[in-house]
Amino acid sequence: MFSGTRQLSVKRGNVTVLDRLSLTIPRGKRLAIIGPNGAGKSTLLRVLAGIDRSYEGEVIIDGQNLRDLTRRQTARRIAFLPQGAAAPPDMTVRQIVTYGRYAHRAPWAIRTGQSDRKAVDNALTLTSMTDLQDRPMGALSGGERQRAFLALALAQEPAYLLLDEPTTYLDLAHQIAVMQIIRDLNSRLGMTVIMVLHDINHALQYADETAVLANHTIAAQGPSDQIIDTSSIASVFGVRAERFTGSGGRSVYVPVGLTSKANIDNKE
Amino acid sequence: MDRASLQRGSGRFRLLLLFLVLMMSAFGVSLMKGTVSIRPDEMIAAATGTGSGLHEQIFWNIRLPRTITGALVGANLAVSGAILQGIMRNPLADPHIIGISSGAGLVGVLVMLAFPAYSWLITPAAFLGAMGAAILIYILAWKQGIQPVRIILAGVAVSAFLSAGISALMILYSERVHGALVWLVGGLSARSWPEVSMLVPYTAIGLILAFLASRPLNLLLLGDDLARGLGLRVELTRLMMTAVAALLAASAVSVAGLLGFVGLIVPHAARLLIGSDYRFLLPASALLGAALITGSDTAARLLFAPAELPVGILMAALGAPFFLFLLRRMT
Repeated sequence: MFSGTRQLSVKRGNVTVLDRLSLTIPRGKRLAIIGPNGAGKSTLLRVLAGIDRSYEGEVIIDGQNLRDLTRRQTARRIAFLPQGAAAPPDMTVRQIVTYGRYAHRAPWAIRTGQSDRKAVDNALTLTSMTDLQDRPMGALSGGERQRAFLALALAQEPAYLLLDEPTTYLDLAHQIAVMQIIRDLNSRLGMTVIMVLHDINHALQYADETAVLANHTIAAQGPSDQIIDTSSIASVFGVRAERFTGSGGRSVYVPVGLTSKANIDNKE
Repeated sequence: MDRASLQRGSGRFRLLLLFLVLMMSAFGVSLMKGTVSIRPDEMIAAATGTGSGLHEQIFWNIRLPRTITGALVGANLAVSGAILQGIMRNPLADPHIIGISSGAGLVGVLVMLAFPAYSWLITPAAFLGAMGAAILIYILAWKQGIQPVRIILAGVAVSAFLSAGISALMILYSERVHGALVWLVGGLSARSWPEVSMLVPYTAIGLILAFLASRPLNLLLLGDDLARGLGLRVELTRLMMTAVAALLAASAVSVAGLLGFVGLIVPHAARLLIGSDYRFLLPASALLGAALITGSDTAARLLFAPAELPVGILMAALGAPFFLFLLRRMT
């Protein structure tokens, strides 16, 4: 069954954000979306998540048109973690994670059912948040908070997990911790992961496939190590990068300067 | 559920119980105190029909309906404010910003001043005015869905416009302005059973709908995108809850006049004490709002006895400094 977009266009007033974009979502894999600022990465993710419905063209999830799904049906299939998610500081981790069950029961339901509690426990375990579940959100570090939001998304028991720059504002250790959790979720649960990443090396290391978004459309898509090289980095980001070989022959790119034709003013 | 969250839950239930006791005490004191003081035993006698005629008269026809009106008005305004602060995600939101006060004010003053013969129309007309203003603001703010900031800006504009109308009416009919002034300040004097029966259905419907919507309201606290992703129909929820808030506040304002600050301050105080979870915040706001209005109305009756101060003046005098206190605490 096909998942992806066909001829997807998004306009904001007269400004074209996405232009007849066709993307194939590799089911059961991790897909990274990279691209310069203002390329429309967040818009694409919001459209795929069913949050933004003001688009033309088709978004297909498991062979079904996204427009034919209600919000609750969508939420049972797709979990979306926006960038910089926030929660009331006095609410506990567990309570926040329980909201992941909203689409699984009646909106006015007061009590949590057995299956809901199991899903919440499971989500807390997968993100190593079990010990912190009674902490108020305001008492968590940035990395712990991001893990709590990840647990919230997992409590939805989705087939698709959509993440918008999940490591923004996190220090190195927490970035790696979050990316490892995401990798585990994919390999252990077979969850399809689509994540907007700003770090090319994260895409190389943690994504099976990478889609490059440039000029309002997908410029290239394929296995990350084939898509990302010095020439694509130069043409997409306008950055000169040097390639190093890490342990196990893995490529690492270090940006060293701007290419001559880089035009920073045009971006954003 | 594990122990810690159970403890947390029972702590909040205990707080709610405390607020209930507070509300009932305010209610009881309000029944006993006034120009004529009634002792507890005399009150019980009056309530059961074995007291003196005067006490029975005061209890059944004056104090009881007035106190119930005060409690309902306080609960309505506080719950309305608690809902609005959540769905607008703005700590300054209260029933005024969706035009409740200016809408009710203009129509109420119009009836009072221009058609004094139809003064029985004031309550229903003010209710229609309040709902009309709320709907107008919602339509003006609509642009592919509702943004809280647009509602607030449209609310400020519409309120300013309607307030100009109120001022114009007061100048045109300056010889009759006294009654209108008292109503605009907000008070409970001479409110009796007709006002109670006018309020009860709106309070009942409004509070039930609000409590049933606790979970969607909580979801909205996570922001529009996250709430949508979790399966909430954000626009629909915001529209319906604005309507519930408007219904609650409009019924209160049409009965008691433009009581300020209750809808702004009580939800803040409740949130400070019991947290932002709407399952607890809404009942806490209702109880504290009822306690505050009945308590303040009693104080307003006694402070300059035998002269009565409209409770609205006392509310503003208490509310403004308390608001500044909250402001300092938050920043």
